[in-house]
Amino acid sequence: MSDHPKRPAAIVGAATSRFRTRRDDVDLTELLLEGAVSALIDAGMTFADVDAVVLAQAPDPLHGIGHPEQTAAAALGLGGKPLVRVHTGGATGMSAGQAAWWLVTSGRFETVLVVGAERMGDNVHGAQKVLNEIWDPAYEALMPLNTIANCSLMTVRYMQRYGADEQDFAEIASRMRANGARNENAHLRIPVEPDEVLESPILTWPVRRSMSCPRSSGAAAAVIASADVTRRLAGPVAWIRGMAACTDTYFMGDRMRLEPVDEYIAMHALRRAGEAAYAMAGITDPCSQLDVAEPYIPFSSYEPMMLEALHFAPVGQAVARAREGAWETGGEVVVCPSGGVVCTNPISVTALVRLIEAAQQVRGRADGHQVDGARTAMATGAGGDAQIFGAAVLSDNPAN
Amino acid sequence: MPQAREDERITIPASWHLEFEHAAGKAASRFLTGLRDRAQLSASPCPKCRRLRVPPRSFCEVCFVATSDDWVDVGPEGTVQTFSITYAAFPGYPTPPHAIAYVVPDGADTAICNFVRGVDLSDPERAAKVLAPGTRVRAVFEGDRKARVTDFHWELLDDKSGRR
Amino acid sequence: MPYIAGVAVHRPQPTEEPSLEELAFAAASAALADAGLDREDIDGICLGASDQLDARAISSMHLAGPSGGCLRDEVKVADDGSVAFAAAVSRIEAGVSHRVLVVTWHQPGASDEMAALGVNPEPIYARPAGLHPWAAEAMVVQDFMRAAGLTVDDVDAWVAQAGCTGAPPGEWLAYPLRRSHLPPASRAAVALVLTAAPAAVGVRGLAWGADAAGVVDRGGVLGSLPGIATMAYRQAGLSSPAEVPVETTDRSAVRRAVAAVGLGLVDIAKAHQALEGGQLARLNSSGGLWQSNPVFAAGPECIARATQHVRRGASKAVAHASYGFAGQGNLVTVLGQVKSV
Repeated sequence: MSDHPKRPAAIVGAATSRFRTRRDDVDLTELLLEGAVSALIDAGMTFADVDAVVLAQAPDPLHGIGHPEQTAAAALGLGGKPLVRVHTGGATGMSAGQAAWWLVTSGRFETVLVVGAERMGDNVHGAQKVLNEIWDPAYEALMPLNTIANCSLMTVRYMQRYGADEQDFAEIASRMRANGARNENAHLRIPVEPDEVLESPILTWPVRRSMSCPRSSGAAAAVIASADVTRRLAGPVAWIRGMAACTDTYFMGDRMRLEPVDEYIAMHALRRAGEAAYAMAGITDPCSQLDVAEPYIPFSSYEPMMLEALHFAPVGQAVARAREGAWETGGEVVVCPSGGVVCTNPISVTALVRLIEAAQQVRGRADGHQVDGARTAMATGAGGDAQIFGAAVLSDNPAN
Repeated sequence: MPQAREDERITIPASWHLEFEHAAGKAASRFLTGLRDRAQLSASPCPKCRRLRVPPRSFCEVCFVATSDDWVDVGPEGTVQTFSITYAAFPGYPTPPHAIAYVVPDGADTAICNFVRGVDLSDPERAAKVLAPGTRVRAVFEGDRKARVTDFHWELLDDKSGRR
Repeated sequence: MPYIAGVAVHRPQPTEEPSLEELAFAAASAALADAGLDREDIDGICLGASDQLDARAISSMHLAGPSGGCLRDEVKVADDGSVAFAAAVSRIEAGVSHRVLVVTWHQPGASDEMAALGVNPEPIYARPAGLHPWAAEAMVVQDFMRAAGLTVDDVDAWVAQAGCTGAPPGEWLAYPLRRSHLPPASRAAVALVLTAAPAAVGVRGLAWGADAAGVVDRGGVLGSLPGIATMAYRQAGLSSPAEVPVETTDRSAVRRAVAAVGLGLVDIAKAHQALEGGQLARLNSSGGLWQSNPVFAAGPECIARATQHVRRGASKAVAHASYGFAGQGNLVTVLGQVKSV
């Protein structure tokens, strides 16, 4: 069980690109700089203030440069400063944030920049061919598994067990897209009605195109600093009250049963990551203590499973609560006011964007999609075959 | 001499030519040759928690000990845990539609994934009912087997509805 | 200060052909046994791996469980195996984790290493211009040799007495690197158990960093290595690195000399001592990467060797990993004896 760190740390600056499919105007290093510079300006700092850098980059074949940390070192002006490149698939951005948090809370470094960029628009054939390669070469690589099929495998079980249907998933997607329309950095900004979602093509049943994330390119960066540093800065900060991760077995077949025990739609690893972050942050009743949640929900049918794993609703109840407006302004917790991953998925940094969105809400810097009075927020990252999860709790208050 | 266009954007095509040879290892080699030579699914036991895993492993990730050598034949029948039907044409994949299912073979404690053949996939909602979790299936082995997991696939036990 | 409570280097028999998972499991379980701990006691996992070398798209998906990570707080870094060690040190110093497994590995033949490395250089200027990582390494090595007054004959002579490969000395890789100057890759997995609670070996100093990939952009033939070494030595109170055992990743033969100078063992005018048998006896007394070269895991193996030096009585030992594009990255750690355990 992870323990509370000895020294507090906060996100003191953050920025993301306006995400789109391709970025033909810049190469990878320029895109990284775009994110880094914007975040440093937001913090009121420069590269000279940075003591170490954590680079968030996920599978290299998505953007076609192997070990991009090698190329990035010069662009980020490291000149011998420490660099750590984190890669945990879709969870990368959150894992990178966690590594940066360790570097600051260890006491070795005062200010750490966490930055990443996605250029998956450069991949000619699209992400799923690359993502087919994530399966075990001996047993599962020959299966047409990809992250969409993986979602439908879980969705099918959830539907059978708890009675959710396509209409529910279409309504969730519509809500996410409506939120994205208010976020000027989101990739997909055009709202869609549930009917339109149900008319979009089926990818793998019952997951339809409009329930699914896009392929996005852009950069994201955050500056994490010690309490001493925050005293020298003028702007609002988001204190990191807890961060934890949990990785499940790779073998999905090990997580499956018809009985309640080992039921894989319970998302044990996400549940544990969330519980550990909550424990560090003193969150005992998520709905009443959290104002905003930015979970990593790449397909709308994941929302009920994930909200239940994160203790926002009892198992099987998240869809009913959604219909009551629980996840919207005026409800229990506003879920993905940014539009979430369904609107924007630049894989290397998506989980970092979740962390940044939660931070911006707490700092009052979420512009057109700001939730009034947001003081405590949580975010998650997800990677692998719903295998690797990270969770974070942020607030405007450094202590429990 | 033509004027250079300041706003011209160049793209550089590139591809990765990487070929791999994956060592399947002790456990997978034994399982895959079992498919090829005996047309049989087998599962590895953990000496501590007694979980019978298919596909087999050399060690139990939970107890963190080596699995024992007394493997158990499982299946060929089993129960669907979940399924997926692909309708989109992804580059490098079989032509859609195709269906896969995770199935716990009788006698095993975990599920293994493979293609499901012989089901009408033209209507997704009807196919979803036919493949629903709890459906009984059988592993059917190919004539020409190559020590690959695709040496077998699943077929419904009952042609009409998939249920006994 | 974190401690190293367990180490393991697992090398399969030549006839075994384990999967990567089986390799990692063997090292992780051996390190736990060495530390007298169970997997139940571990609260953090740090993996160091390269997808291209592992021939997987997200290798940690398959390797986390075998590395002890099932339902644990696990992260993978991809700079080098040694950077996974740095991440582990930080999370323990942060007070967030108490017993962390660091696991790294290499399996030659999983992919063609030359091809796997070939996708690293950026695609606009470097790759199209033939700047393969070994070509870049050759440039860096050439600059150092010129500054240190070393010749290809000096390197050939050292390689011959280091008792190595059997590759014909005449074959060039990229001038002045011959194929025979590179230690062959070997199959191994390395695991370390780091703890917050005291053990016999402590991590007294740690510093690491990256220079630009561009070989002309590093501010000198040694780049940031001297500064990084000084930082680690200062933390550990080590004033005479030449007097303690030093284990370094000599990924090409000349790197031995680069390390000898960059780590402050000798002045550059005496760099040739690093390539003369019988000199600098405390540098890579284990045989370095000529004895075992698990590429991505070579840095952690140097840390394991340094740990063994301290366990066998050295008051301090240094481990150095050079990594990244033509050695742009450097990590230096100083391990020390912990008396009152």
